Amino acid sequence: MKNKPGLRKGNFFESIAKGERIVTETHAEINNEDITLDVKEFNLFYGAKQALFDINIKIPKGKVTSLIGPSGCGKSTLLRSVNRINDLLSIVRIEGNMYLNDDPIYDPAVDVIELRKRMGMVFQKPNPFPMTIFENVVYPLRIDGERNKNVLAEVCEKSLRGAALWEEVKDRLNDSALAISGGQQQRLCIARAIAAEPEVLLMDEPCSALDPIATNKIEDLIDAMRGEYTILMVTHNMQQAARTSDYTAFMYLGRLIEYGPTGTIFQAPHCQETSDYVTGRFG
Amino acid sequence: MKAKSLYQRRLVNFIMLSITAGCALFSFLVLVMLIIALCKNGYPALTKTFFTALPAPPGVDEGGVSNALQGSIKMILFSALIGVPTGILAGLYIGELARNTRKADFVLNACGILSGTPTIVTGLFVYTLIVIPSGHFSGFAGITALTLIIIPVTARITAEILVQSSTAMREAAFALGASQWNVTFFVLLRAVRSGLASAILLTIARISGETAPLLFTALNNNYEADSLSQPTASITVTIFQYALSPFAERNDIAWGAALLLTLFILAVTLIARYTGKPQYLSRPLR
Repeated sequence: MKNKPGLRKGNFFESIAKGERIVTETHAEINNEDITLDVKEFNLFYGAKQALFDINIKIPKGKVTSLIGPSGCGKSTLLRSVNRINDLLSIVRIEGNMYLNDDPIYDPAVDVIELRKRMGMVFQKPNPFPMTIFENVVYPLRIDGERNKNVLAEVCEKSLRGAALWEEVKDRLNDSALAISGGQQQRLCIARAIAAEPEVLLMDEPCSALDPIATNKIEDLIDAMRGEYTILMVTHNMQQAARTSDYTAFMYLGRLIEYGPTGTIFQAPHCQETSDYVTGRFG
Repeated sequence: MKAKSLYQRRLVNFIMLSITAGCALFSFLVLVMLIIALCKNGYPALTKTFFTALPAPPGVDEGGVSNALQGSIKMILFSALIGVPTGILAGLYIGELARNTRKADFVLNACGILSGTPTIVTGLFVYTLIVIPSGHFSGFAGITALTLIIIPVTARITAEILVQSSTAMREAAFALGASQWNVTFFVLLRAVRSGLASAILLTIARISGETAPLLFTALNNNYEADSLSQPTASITVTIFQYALSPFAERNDIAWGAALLLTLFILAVTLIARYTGKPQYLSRPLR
């Protein structure tokens, strides 16, 4: 394996094998951004097995950030730690902390329910609730006890427009959410996730269960949401990361290897390992 | 090893197919014969008197089973009213609130053992628990026995349906900041309600046919019980006693009661099939 000129010599994999601490190659551009989510020295264990190692990453406000890396590298685990959905598994233990707009996420004083209301999450498979389309979208407001019909209707329209679904379902808001297509269901889940105006939107491989046309629509949607929403997205698909995101983070074996502007990561990465991964030499 | 010839393979295939098809046909024929026998012997007994009259003395023609009908309906209804909610709440604990904990596993196993316990043992248990201390058989004892059968079955079914169906949706709801309470009652139970309703109907159909737990508890009564603290007649125990009776007209009533019971269970089962179309399950129930 020859090193391209200008690349830092690839020694991450050796260091990982030796159990040494990895210092992420973070590009300087991140420092010019407003930071919404700040992950500091984050470690996570599933029982005795460590899944995340010393993760430090700052997610910029109003940008789309992709987490890429081979299966099992911990990208979904990291994403699911942000809204503490991993807490539902009793065997998870963490060290370090994350901050959402300077509020700590892991702290005994944090009300997890209130914390989760500040975030939205979209999952791999569309998972609408067995209710009407309308009730799905306004569910985040319902759990806050909102009963004003005008407010609910307004939020429903705004969210569905935001998720580019309004035109397709406006005449059947009272139909079951299970009756629409998979791609529409996923956009419905996005509408539901943005209904409460989250500070960060987490997406866990949002297109992996969709066909190419539906994927295209979701990608267009993500593109349109740029600027308004802070999006942190896990993707298995490197082209998707390259197409949709402003920043890309490459993870490997539970470590964050390199993090920087998407263009640089894909075309002129600083690390040999990143270069090998994005050119398809492994993973 | 020498390869089998095509002829041999076809022969073996034909033989095995014939044997399995024969066995399938036999089990179907049993059902058909059962229904024919029930209809032939039972249908003539289903007169107006059968539904409205009390049992007549042996040898008298004008008897009915109105008391047993009432007793059965009361006991099934009350035991379902107590047992189903208790079982669902226990199932929620096992399948959702305490899921994947040792406590939940323990309770789930206990429910498994309980629902596998022969119902005659349950009857005997209630006999020593209620009938002996109170000094007499009663409808309450019968209801207790049936309730004890319903609870573990319902709890186990609820827990299993929840565990099967819920991961994606519960995560989605939790991620939106819903409370455990809200997730459980407004998302999960809603998602599994049709499957659950069908399972509960099947459980009720099952206890409708129970005789053993009522023998030692509610016993029987030739008259209409004034209250549930008296011995209470039931269709199943009536069938048992009348079928063994030496009097032909009582045997006829037993046939009629058996037909009625079978039709009831058949109807409930069919309703359960129709209501039980799972709306949102990661894999189908059946």
